[in-house]
Amino acid sequence: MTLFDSVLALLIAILAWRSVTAPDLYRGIVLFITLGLMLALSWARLDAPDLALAEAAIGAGLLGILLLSTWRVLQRAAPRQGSDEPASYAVRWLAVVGSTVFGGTVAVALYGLQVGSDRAGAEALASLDLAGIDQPVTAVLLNFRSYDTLLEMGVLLMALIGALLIRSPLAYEPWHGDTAVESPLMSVLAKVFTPIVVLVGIFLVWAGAYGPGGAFQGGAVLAGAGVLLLLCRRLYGDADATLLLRGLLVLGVTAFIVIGLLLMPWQGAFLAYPPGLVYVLLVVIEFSLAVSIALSLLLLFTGTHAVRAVRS
Amino acid sequence: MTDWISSMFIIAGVGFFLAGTVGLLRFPDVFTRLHALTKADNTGLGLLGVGVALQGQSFRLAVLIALIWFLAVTASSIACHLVARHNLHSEEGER
Amino acid sequence: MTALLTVAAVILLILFALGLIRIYQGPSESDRILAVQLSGTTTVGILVLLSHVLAMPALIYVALLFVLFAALIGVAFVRHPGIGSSS
Repeated sequence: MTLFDSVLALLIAILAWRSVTAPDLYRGIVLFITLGLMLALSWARLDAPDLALAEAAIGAGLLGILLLSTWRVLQRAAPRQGSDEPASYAVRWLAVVGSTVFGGTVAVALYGLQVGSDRAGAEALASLDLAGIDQPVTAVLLNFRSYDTLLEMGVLLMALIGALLIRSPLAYEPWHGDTAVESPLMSVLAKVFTPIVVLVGIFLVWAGAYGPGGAFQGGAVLAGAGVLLLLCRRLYGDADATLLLRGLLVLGVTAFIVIGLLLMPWQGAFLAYPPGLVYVLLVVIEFSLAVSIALSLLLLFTGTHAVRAVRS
Repeated sequence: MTDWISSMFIIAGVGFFLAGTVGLLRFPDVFTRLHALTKADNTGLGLLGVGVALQGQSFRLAVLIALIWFLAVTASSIACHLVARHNLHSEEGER
Repeated sequence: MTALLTVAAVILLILFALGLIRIYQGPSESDRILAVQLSGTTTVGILVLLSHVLAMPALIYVALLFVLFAALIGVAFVRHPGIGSSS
């Protein structure tokens, strides 16, 4: 197995280096996608299947599709007036020195790291029966550190608002050279794959309670289903957001806060789950989070305020 | 006995993967490389999946591997068709 | 048996690395996206093997995700989006 790890580590280093120093943008994007594949493998080797799922869905999947679509848009846009000359010697030497110092610091920090001395992890594993959930990752995310997850959802909403303010939306309207539009296989793809992707996404959210999975991974896969419908022209991005859509976007944060507040007069603290109801409450919270995450990621992809079904 | 059969499947699967990669590297044209990619790689994945499913001895694992293989074949066929069309039209556009 | 699976996983990883040569060489853009599809299928093979070697059933779900997103990456390469009108 060490042979596998060495080859994997070498590949990751080479891919990361070449994706940054690629001669053109497209090669960099392609190498970045393959880097995402290798990173998911590395998470698997580090005994973190939850992270491998998230890396596969978000890092290699959604980000790869977004980068490819952006590259296509840039191809058709007018060329910028920026210069393509390489950076000056001073900047390059600064980069070398900075990278070496940073790499050296990380290496020293890793060398001094003692494996097995993390008390928080051991304590969390010991108190799992208090959490009411068998899966340690979900117990930490939604019970022991529920504040963090609540604030992360707020951060996701703020990122969405910020992105919608700055960027131009992606529109998948057909144009005269678009060969994929006339292909009948696109509707086969939409009809066969979308139900399976949605089912896998819902399953991953549900499976988070007793195995690897959870709201983030399931939500990312559901966003992938939305992206599939967008690519096959069953959905399109629209500027007017209905109240329902805005409600679904904030559903995650709202459900979390409402449940936390409702528990206060009962249990005496914000988000203190009563022992019998932990599982039910966490399932409700996870599904609300998954819906919000899926919709936020989809809107981050299209850059519009809403998505609408295509009425043919 | 099961070990021998699944070993043969896994070795055959890796062999097909090798054939697919060599085809991607050595074939002269985009279209021929598409051919190597979609046929050889997916067969290799199927054989590999059968080998691992025999080792796992759980029906759930076998169903999941069959689902993965079915989706891989469908995805490859659709992607192959789309990329080939795209290349064909862009070649015609250049001439 | 585990040794055979581990060796098979290492061989697949080396094949993945060989596929990267096509990204470096391939004259057209389609060649490079083909190499990505190959890398995806090879990674799915590695994950199926590893799920047995490491006894992690969740890796089968990671393989499922990769298959689904590989289809999407192929489609995203072919589609030509434009810049829509901002509101």
